[in-house]
Amino acid sequence: MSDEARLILSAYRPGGQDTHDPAFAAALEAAKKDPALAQWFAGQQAFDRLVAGHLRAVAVPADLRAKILAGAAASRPRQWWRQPRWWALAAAVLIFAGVAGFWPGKDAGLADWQRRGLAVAGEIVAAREPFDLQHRDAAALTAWLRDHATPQPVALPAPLDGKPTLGCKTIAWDGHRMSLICFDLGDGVIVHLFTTDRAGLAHVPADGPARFVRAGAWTVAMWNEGDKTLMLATDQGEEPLRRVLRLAAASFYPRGLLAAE
Amino acid sequence: MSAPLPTAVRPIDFHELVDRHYTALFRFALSLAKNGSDAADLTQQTFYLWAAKGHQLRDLAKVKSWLFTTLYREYLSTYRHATKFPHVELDDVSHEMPSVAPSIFNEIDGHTVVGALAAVDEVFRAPLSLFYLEELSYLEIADVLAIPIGTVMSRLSRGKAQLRQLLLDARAGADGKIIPLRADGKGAA
Repeated sequence: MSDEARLILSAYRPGGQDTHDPAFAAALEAAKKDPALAQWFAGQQAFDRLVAGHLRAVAVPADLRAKILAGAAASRPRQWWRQPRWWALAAAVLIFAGVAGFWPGKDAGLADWQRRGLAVAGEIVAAREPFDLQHRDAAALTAWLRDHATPQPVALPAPLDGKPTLGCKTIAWDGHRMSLICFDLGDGVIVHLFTTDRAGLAHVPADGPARFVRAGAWTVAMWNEGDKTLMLATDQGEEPLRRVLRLAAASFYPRGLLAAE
Repeated sequence: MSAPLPTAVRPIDFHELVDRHYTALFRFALSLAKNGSDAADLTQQTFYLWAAKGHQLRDLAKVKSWLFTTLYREYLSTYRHATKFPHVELDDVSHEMPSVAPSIFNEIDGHTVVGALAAVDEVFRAPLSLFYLEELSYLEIADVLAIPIGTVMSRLSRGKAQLRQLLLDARAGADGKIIPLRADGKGAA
């Protein structure tokens, strides 16, 4: 019994989690009656407590939790119809449309490069396509894009500057290139910033305030900045975009990106 | 007032799930990968897979086992190319505990203990790490590693013997195999 009891007791956790597991009852009983086995078991439990204590004390990287939450937010299937926030947002949009006479444009308002960009963003959100680079710092992503000769914003809209990022990607279409940077605004809200060179685009948004377009599950705002054309998109409604652009208009951008509200 | 739903039928809050398990998963990953950066990647990847596929799990009481199993499989498929099938002569490994007073190990610092755990042969290290994390019973460890219950007990016994020997060697300054392991570095301190 002694060898068998030792083997069984090797699996008995030192923290007492297995006290009521009947699989250990006979071996524990044997240890009470056999002084040699009892001494061996006490020594082993002391050793196990020591190792377990040291393993529990191993420090975990301070930013690991945030990275897990950010990474998973980009991969989680969006059950938007189950989110109360969406219903609240939908109601707000309807009220706004009724009061202000505003209604976003239709999918037909998107150019090919925008459809291509949104398709790639959708694949990334669904975890079917990877980022070229994952990083929480936008500066690291813009540096990477610069090194890879990919168009990027002259400067990030101020409300996005300093926000944690998920990653970036270079997207090629029809001989052109655009960059995609995904920002984590918190509370599960992800916005995607696309930038491409204005020159050579078949359909360039008119200069002036950002134009809003609804395209399937996406809400898109597009505008020009210098020689670049930018598109900001999210699958979580118009409010996050308006929040970013409203603050951008108040800070970085010299002219209003939102039409008068 | 209604009673709280049992865990098995209560919807899982992702943040709560992360808070509950990510430290133990990271420590398990660290013992496998021996490298803080890879361990963090493995932990992130595990939750990434949960976010993408976890809803397919029918029995929510098995979430913890699912997470550890997934992390272990990710490690096997991604990080273990070089030693995919390590040849270990189990009969050559003594499972007798070195006969020393337990107090002798009290003088050894935590980094060395965790480093010694990482130096244990991999076939023993995975069950040993899960055992010392104390998150899973031997039955659950068998399930996570997909090995029989008897094999778990045998590997725990032999693994502990090897760990003690490594620590005795370290104490005597004779074993260069132990590299004090830190979670924040590239592996070795």
